[in-house]
Amino acid sequence: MNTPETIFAAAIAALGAPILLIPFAKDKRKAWLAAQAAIIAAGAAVAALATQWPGAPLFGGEGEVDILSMAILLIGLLDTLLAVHGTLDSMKGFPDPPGFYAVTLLAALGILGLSVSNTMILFMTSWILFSVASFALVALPKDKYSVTSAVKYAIMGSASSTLLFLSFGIMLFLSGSLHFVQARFASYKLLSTVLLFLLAAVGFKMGVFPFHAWLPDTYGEADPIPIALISSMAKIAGILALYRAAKIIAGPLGWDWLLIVAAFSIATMFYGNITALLQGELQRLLAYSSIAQAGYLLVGIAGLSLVPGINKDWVYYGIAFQLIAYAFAKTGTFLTARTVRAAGEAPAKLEALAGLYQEHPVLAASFATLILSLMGMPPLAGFWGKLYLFLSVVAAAPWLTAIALINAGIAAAYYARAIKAVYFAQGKGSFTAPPSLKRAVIACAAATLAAGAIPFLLAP
Amino acid sequence: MMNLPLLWASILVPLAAALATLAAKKASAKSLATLNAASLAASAVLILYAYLAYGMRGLAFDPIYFRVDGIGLFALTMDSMVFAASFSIAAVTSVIAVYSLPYMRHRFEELKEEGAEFPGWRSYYFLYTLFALSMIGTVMSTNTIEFYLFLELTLIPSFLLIAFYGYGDRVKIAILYLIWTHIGALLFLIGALAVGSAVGFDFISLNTGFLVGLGEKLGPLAATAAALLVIGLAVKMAVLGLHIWLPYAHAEAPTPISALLSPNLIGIGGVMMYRIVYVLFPHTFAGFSQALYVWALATMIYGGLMALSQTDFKRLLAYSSVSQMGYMLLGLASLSAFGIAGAMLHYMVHAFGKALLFAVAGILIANLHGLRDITKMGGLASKMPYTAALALLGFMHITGIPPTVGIWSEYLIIRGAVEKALATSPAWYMGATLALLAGIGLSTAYAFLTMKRVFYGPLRESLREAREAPASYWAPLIVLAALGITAFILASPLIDPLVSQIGAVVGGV
Amino acid sequence: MEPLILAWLAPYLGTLLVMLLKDRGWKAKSAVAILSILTAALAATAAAWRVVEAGETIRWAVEWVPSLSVDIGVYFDGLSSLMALVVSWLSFLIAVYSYEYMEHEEGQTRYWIFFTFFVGSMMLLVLSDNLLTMFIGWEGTGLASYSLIGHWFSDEEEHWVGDPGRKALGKQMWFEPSHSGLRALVFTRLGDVGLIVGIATLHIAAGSTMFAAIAGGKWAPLLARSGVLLFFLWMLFLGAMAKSAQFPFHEWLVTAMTGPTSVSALIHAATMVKAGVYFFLRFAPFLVAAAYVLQGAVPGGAHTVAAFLQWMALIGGFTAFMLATMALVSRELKLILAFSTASQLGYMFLGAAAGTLVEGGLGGMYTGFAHLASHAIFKATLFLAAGAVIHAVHSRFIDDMGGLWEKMKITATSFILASLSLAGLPPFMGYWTKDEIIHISFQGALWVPAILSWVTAGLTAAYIARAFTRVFFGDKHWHVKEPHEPGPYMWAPYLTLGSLSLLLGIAWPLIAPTVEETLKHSMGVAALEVTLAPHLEAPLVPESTLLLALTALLATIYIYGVKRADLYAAAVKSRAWAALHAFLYDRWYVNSIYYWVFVDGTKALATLLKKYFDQLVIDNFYHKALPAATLWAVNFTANVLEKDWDALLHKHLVDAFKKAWRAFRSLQTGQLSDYIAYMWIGISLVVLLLCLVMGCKP
Repeated sequence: MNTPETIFAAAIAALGAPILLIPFAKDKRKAWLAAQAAIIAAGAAVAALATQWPGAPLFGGEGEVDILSMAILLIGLLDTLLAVHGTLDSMKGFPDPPGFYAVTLLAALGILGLSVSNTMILFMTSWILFSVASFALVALPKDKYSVTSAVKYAIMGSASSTLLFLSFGIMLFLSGSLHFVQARFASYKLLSTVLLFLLAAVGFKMGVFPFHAWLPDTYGEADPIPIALISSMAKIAGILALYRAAKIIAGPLGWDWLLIVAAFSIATMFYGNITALLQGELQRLLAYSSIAQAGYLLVGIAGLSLVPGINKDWVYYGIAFQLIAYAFAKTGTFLTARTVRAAGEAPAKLEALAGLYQEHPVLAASFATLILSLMGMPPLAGFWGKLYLFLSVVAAAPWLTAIALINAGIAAAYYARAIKAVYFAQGKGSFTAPPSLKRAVIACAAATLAAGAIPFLLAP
Repeated sequence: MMNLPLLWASILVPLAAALATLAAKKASAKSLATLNAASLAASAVLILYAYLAYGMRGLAFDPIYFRVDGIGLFALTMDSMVFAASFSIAAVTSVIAVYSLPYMRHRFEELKEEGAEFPGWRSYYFLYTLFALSMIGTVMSTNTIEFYLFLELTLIPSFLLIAFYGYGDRVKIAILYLIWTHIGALLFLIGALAVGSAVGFDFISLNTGFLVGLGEKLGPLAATAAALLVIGLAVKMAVLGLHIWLPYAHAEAPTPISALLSPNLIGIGGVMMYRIVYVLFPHTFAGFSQALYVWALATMIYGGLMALSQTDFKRLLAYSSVSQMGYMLLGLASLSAFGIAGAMLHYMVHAFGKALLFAVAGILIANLHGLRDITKMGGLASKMPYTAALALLGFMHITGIPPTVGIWSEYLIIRGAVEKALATSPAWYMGATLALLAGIGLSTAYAFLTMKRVFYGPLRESLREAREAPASYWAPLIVLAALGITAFILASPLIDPLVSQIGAVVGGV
Repeated sequence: MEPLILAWLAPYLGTLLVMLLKDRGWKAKSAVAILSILTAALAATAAAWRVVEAGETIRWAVEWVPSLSVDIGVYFDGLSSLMALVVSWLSFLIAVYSYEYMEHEEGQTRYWIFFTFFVGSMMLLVLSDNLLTMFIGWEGTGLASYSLIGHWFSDEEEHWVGDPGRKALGKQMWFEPSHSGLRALVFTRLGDVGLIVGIATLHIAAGSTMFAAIAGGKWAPLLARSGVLLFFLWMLFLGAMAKSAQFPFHEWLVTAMTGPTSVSALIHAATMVKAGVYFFLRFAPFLVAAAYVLQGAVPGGAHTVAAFLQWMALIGGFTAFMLATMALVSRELKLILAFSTASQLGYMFLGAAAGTLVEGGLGGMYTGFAHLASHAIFKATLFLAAGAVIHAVHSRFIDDMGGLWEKMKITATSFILASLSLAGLPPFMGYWTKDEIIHISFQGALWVPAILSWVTAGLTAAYIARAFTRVFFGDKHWHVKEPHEPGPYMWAPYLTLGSLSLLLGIAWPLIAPTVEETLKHSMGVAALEVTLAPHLEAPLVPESTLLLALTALLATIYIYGVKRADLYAAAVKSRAWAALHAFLYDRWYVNSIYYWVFVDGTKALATLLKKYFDQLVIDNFYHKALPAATLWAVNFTANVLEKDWDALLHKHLVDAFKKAWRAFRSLQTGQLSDYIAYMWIGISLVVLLLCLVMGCKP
């Protein structure tokens, strides 16, 4: 084993070892600390890899240190860290807190695998690992909402995975290799089918219209704590999958990649934004906003096609940035949703947030910051993410940029409602905001704000 | 290039004050007012110095700037146009910060009686100064994204200020305002992205100054991109047809904020229409100019008519702002160095004049039990001579009567409009003249009719008890009036650089 | 620094000083104001002396706004120095009068602030060497006039103009000070827009706003070729027409009488309303030069200039006639004088236009200026004396006067002296100057205005005779205990001016050549070969005019003074006469028509737009229709996509599947989630779509 491989193995060990050990922990606090330590350790390893050995092959070509993937992975790990941090005092009613942390690490391990996979085998294994872990996460609270949601999620997830395998099968057939290498004898129609299957499979996870149906139910009903974790992880997994696939088939598909992905992107943005407009429940609103945000991310995926006029650097930068915005915002807002919804109870209305700013002014400001980031307000991360995403395709497909921006305009309306609920709604809600949760939400907001400075420091 | 970062300082000094405000948990309202007003006054002085020392001669840059890959130069710049706008903003916001103290004290009491929940002084001044400094930033930008960034930064504090402290159905109106201006900003952004992806987002370069004609390289897309930019900015300006959010927002905002929103914020649309759209697309913009010219005249007349038909003082002033934006747009549409210089100068005129007028409306509201209905006023000049005099000066500004600087901007705008009309056709010349007669006639009519209805005539029975407001209300406003008169007398350092600097880009001087 | 700049600077400094002295007494403020105006008058005299004596023009200026070629300084040439002389000395005398007249009134500080500001602005207007500075002075006078007309802004009835309660065509015919101030400002500003457009046009065509650059008329060909010359000239003179109250702008001047009488004398008789005439005189030689330049350059160009001047003559003649008829029936002393002022301004316009047509720039200047000066003197006298009378009897209606000769001899003497000058009788100054105008109009074959002005000479004698007869002679109708002569601060100024009307008239044959000689030193006056109008012999015109005026005067004195007839009571018995009386009394219904057309029209348009455009179309579109459409879209997505679509996929299709599955129950056990079906259908649909788009051949 050479150095990069050693470091990577260390990362796996950092995440894997606690998975085995944590279930034996009696004290949820210890488990909580251990999980955070594990993530930090893995993150450090990944950061070292990304900075010191970019592009290095791992395990004889099974894997590869890809910069964008590593960046995405780091975002995911950091976000998971914050999410985990926020859970400590909010797990009342969870039957098995240590188990929860173990499963979280398992999911993280899945993402870790996804991010380096260069072969279908590794990718599929990681995918399953992540999927199963995320189903379990949703199911863990074991109240009636979580269980129903988990079942829906699991069944849909398994079905979508089948499609993923099917599309991999076709790719294998086309390229004759388990490695992600560009198809040699590209049959155009088959490639389109592969892309469709992929979009269907990954789209389920990300909430792409019309494969989104489970998402509002699950995100909208389940306990917000696991959702705070998986909402970002699922997007990251999906993006990683599509990014890998693009390496193989985006080239031969050319304009069709862009057009097909853009079509899904547009449908998803419109669907998510318009449906979100009148949602009365906080979590459901966030859920539809998740769908809309998936649409924005797909703009970036569309930009992965190899047509002239697209600036690849901006695409990567935009995807990464948009993931930063999305991950922290969703983690933070779902955690906030927990403050107005006790474990096992029905999902809260938007108006339940009324009076938050008087009770917890900093928490309210953080929540508002995150919502503004989702809205795309400068100088927050969400602005830069959208800017670079939309900018990257504007030369090749100005219509796509225009539609995306129009959607951003529509979205302002319901994000404004969320802010209104916090600051201007009549009445006073009751809130349970334990310190760890507050810290996590504030950290999310701080990260979102701080990320606004990145463009000035780090060029695409 | 300046030796010292004067321009960053002009933004960061208020920012420091704003942050200090947020942190100062125990500070009294008075000390907060002093702090914020002083910081904005310092900003005005810095701007004035930067202009006199550097900007008068041409584009001058702050020594601190950033380059962002793919997006370009984030620098701050100063020239005659920037001065006209940014100095107005700093001066007006500084004065109104002082005025806010008695006004908002009254407003807070009112809100308490309503039983509303609202954050106190610290939040008010924090948001206020944040709003002010981001407006200053907009006009100093050298890059469309930088401009957009500052512009959106103005949005949130102004939105919150309306939503927290406004009148009527304030939350609904604040959201209306948010969505409208957001849509305007997004239309602008679509255009900006189309330009930026092809030729970059800068409209001013450190080395060569204004990047004139850069956007034309877009080819057939240029017209669409320029149109989007124009429409986006026109929403901000509230030009006829896109104006409908303005009367709501400006009438129902807390009055000190109306005094910032109405002249300062909307005028930025006009200033940047030249600095961005004209500079990047001189030929395309020239192609639009006839349509814009007609649009401007229609806005002028329409705004005047609407103002005449209002009975709510603040709403009247809001429609008057629509009309004033017609003047500004007319100057821009003239494509003449004089006309455009007039539009820029009119920014200042409108800033001083309309701020005075909104402040006067606020004095009446605060001191006469929320009185806003003009039909219930009359004869107040005998009881409130200072307020009446300030109102008269405010109206003199916006109708262009000396000794206020208004006469210069009015002449410059008409000078430009006539030049354009004369070059077009005799029918155009005659039509434009008649439209100007109607437009300016209406402005005079609504301005002085309002003076008569509010301040002259026999004193209303219901106003027997009225007396002059405390000096804390009207004394700061004297500064604005004095600035307007000073600018009239010292017109040369304002107008000559404007004409020559714009003429260098536009030609024809 | 040129000390002569004090000619306009001193009054402005006076304004500042009065502001600073706002808490001091009336005496201090008055002293400052009067002295500041005296300084201006002395400066103007010193300058005029140099101009007359040495025949030089004095120009001193510093750049103000170079990019607009705007200078600030003083420019004394023949015209402006004479004009400055008239303006400053009259202002001084009226200021002295004000000291006593305004002593016990409200708003003393405000009065002096705007008084001095007015004088400064008027002098600036006269002494500018470029159009923009002139325009700034011009607007300054407008502002001051607005404030002074509305001086008694709380609108007590004693300060109104018109009969309270009277309506014409449904529109009120009485005017409060605040209303009159508004009218004055709006009317004159309307004209000013034309003027400012004209200035801008000249700026473009001549490349400068300096008179020196415009005097040569080089700008004319460009405008003539563009086809806008005539329209341009109308616009350029619109400001002058409005300021000098020519038809159709005369209405504002009439109601401006709500201001203090001293203000009426200063602004609405002697100075500001002359600004338009002054502008005309300034441009008279420029127009001739323009015609000269056009002669060779643009066919028909010179004719356009001549045609424009003919229009001006017609408007002048018509204004003179129209307002004189109104003066015949008015019941208010100040109103009679106001009608008379507008009528006389019509004469001046006619004189300037006809003079220019017949004798060129200098001729126009001389004819116009002579009458301007004589009118300034006699009309100021009339107003000031009228102020004393109104003070004495506490009424503005002549019905409440009569027989005052016994009580107020000085006032009556001054008033009658000035009246005779106005009536155009020799040897008063008015005789010479008015006669010149009527004569030259006939010479230029301007038949309609000439005849109108001839008739007006008779009307003028009649109405002013009616006025002084009813005020000073006949039965006493006053309701006060003891009307008495005012103090010397008041009577001295108008006695001086009244005597001056006579003295200058006697000396006029000697003075006139000096005036004409001085005017020759005005800008742009040069002998140019250009024929704008014929130069006919007009025999018997002076004689017949004099005869007419004398007859009218004596007849009126006989009717009112000797017979003491009540013409009004006699007239209203006949329906036709009553209608004619109402027509004249209600000012030819012009005012009512304006209110119907412009005020109500604008209001209706505004309301209509507000109701049907702003609220119905725009507001509803954005805030009702657009949200409704969005709501519909939301409901559509929710109901169709989310409900029907959901039902279709999750229920109906699943049911269908279930049915199928039931059929295969022997093979299949257990149930799948609804969403599985949804997913497969979704994919199938997309594949189908793809097939449709790309074709399905393998």
